[in-house]
Amino acid sequence: MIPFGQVLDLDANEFHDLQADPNKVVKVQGLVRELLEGNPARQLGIKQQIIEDIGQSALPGLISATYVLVDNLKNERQRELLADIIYAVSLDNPSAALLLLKAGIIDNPVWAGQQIIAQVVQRLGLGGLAIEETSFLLKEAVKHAEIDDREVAVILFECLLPLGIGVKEALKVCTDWLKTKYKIDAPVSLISALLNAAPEETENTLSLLLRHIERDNKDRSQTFSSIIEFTTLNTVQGAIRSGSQRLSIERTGRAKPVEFLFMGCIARYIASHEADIEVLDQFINAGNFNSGILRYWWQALSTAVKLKSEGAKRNFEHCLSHLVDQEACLLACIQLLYIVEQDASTKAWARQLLQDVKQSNPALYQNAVDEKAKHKRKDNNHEDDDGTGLSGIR
Amino acid sequence: MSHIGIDLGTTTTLLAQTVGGQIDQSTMEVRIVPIDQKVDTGNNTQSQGFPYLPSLAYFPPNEVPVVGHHALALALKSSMGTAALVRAVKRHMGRNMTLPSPINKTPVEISALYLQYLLHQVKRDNLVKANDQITVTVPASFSSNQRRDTLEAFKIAAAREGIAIEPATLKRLFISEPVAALLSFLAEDLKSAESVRKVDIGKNPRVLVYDMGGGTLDLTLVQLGWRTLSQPKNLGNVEFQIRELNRYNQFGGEDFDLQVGRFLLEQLMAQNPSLETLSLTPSEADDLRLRLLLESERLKKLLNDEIEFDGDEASVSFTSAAFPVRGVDYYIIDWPVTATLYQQWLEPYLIYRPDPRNALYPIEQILTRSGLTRNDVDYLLLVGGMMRFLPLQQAIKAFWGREKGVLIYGKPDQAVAQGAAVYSHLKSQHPDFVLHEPSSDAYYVRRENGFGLLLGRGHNDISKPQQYKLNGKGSELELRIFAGDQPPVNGDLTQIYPTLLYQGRFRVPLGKIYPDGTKVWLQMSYPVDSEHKMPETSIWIDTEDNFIRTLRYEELSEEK
Repeated sequence: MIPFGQVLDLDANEFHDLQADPNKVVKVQGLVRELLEGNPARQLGIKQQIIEDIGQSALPGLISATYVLVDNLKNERQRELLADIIYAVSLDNPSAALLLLKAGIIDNPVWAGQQIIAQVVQRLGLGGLAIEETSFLLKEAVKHAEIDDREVAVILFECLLPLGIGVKEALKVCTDWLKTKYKIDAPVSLISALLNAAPEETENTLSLLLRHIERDNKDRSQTFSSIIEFTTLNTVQGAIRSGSQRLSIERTGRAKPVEFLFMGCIARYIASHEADIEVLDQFINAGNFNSGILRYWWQALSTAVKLKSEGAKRNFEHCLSHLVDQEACLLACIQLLYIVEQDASTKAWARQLLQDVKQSNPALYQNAVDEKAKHKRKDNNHEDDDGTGLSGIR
Repeated sequence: MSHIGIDLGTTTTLLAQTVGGQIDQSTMEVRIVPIDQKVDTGNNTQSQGFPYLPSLAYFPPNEVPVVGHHALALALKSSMGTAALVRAVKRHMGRNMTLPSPINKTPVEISALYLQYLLHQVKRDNLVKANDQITVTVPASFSSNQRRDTLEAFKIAAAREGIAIEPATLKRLFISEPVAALLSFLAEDLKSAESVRKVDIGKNPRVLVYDMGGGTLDLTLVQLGWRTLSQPKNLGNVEFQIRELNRYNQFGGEDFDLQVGRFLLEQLMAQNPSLETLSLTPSEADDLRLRLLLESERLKKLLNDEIEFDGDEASVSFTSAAFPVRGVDYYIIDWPVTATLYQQWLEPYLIYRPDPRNALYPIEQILTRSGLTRNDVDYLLLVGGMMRFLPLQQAIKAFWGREKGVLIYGKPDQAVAQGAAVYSHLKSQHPDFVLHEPSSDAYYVRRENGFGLLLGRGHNDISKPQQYKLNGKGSELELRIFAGDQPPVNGDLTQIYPTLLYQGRFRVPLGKIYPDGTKVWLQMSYPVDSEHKMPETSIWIDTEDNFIRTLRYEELSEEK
């Protein structure tokens, strides 16, 4: 709805492209260049001029600046400065999101420019879009996926999926991409958005992705763990289910996808969602997963301890004080031994806990020391695949 | 024999026709052809001739579209509100867009409707015969995309009316609006005895044509002279050297109306306080917006008439037409508006400030671009519909700083259409009469890092062959093209980056599939036999000797 007194304020953004007022576009681009070349005081002045004096109608010029001035952006700070201004003039503008998506992403001929706008769109959200607008964007996402313009397709899906739109289409696109031999970055990004929007529907596709990573190129796991960020408990549980079914848990070797899943994605999740650690612990212990999964779970907890997770520490303490599950206790002790060796900031805590175990259950302690030594020998001999299933533990 | 000129304007479209005579004998007349349009007369509608067709189209559901005065009348009466009415579509030419529902048409399709309406009458009344010339005007600063779209609209309209147009006619279909206005002015001036002529062509004068219409401010600097002194001193013997143009500037009467509309809106709310807390749907807002602009235009005309008599002392008591909002009619009643107050509202446009949306700043811009001062220019010719608006005339004259040499066309809103008809006549009588204008923009292509010059602004410019590499095997090359200022003399292209405007992603078909990494050379130039300013592209593969073909601008496929 438009306040009565503002009916004449709709201007350049009405038709969702950048050519509604070419002169203003050129003027704003000139200001952006001054902004990028100016000293901090001048930058502040220009920023204010764009946001306060020109306001919403600066948006087309700012988007166009991401086409023509990206080569002038010297560093991340300048990119953020431009993104901040675009965000500020887009707030409270009902036309902004669509203009940003159409002109800033779909039509943007410069990849670096698309990234700046994508960052703004993520901050703004797409809550205000009408059904026909989201339908249009979904069609565009599928079209760009088909013509192999993957960056645009991923950005559009990333915007639509949190609204619950495009799950079916994104899953199909992701599966199609995985069947091809192209770079894996695009499906990984897409699956990350899918996992958070529709974890259950995504499990099969995630499984495909995990298999693909394992089968075709181990190094890609790095990409996987750095891009995928779980934000809900459901997604983590889905990923564990998928990983358990699809990944070679028993097969040993370094840089295994399952390690990246647990040490990368799941460790980061539990470090920031401590309340979910107990739930996940029960989920893994109660689920009929491959027994090897438990080792990776303790590995994730150990990584989370290094990430300063108090919840992960409590899980170690709880496990070793109650001694309910022998296997879990053994794995916990092995991880503590590694922490003592590797992590200066938490080694005192780990040493104290091991001391307690040594006193209360010397056999468990000795067993852990032996297992770790066995593992270390294998490491030294570069025996990456001996069938014991332990070489992956760090 | 008669010849036709069409001024396809942002807010009005005009049709002009040459009548009898020869330019050489100065016996030729140019008349504005009344355009038949339906009008409501209470219980029924009847046809009436108007000097112009409002550039408006109305799309009633499940019926054929209606244009002109009738379109506005139907839209204002429609229960759907004015959502199905299109105005100022010229501002969207060259843009890769479809107007929103319920219109769902491209700017080309809508422009074709206006042209078709005129061509229908031209054909019905036998205004042209085979091989007669037709000219359509475009802003001097129109980009290649905008020209391509206008040409396409004309072709559609002509085909629908079954009018066959020779390819040679199409190549010289356009004339730029300021130059057309100048032709029209000179055609009249040259009819006078040499001693009383306003422009002395023999002195090779520089003329700055200032053309402000409903939607565009277009400036062109022309140097005049006689082509040969041995020939009669008539229009066919005038040499037009077009020295400079400004860039495309969407600033015109619409903007003035919008600015005044803000004060009307304020007054409407002051007189009807219950409106202040109301929020409108987008279609309700569109409807109110249109009615405010119409009332704003009416107020402008009322006040203009008063200023003509009373000068700055003029004032009117304004009562508006109804503003219907959710079944209730609201009015502005007896609002006193003085000329002084009105001019205060328009100060951002009429008092100099360095902003393209200012009536005076573009004069300074074009002079700077051409390296001249106001004193270097002999004549300032004021044309276009907005020149009827006296406060604008006064502001320009005051800025120009001297009365001498300021030329005002008698009917400034008709000059462009009349000049187009004159040009049609010239093309027919003097086939060697050619107008070569520079382009308002140079063209650039996006490269991996930065931009490369594709084609300069000069009509005779030919780019150096540019090398590209196919990224992956394929049968086409993709180019991302931008329009911008001419490259600086020092060659530092980064200086012009802020002037660049994206024109689109063009695909250059290569004819067959070539392997990844194949080298392709492109060269662009303006075709010598055409005045469209739509560059041709020549393609070579692997080596520059292996020529493939030359593509017309329209053959480059723009990604939709």
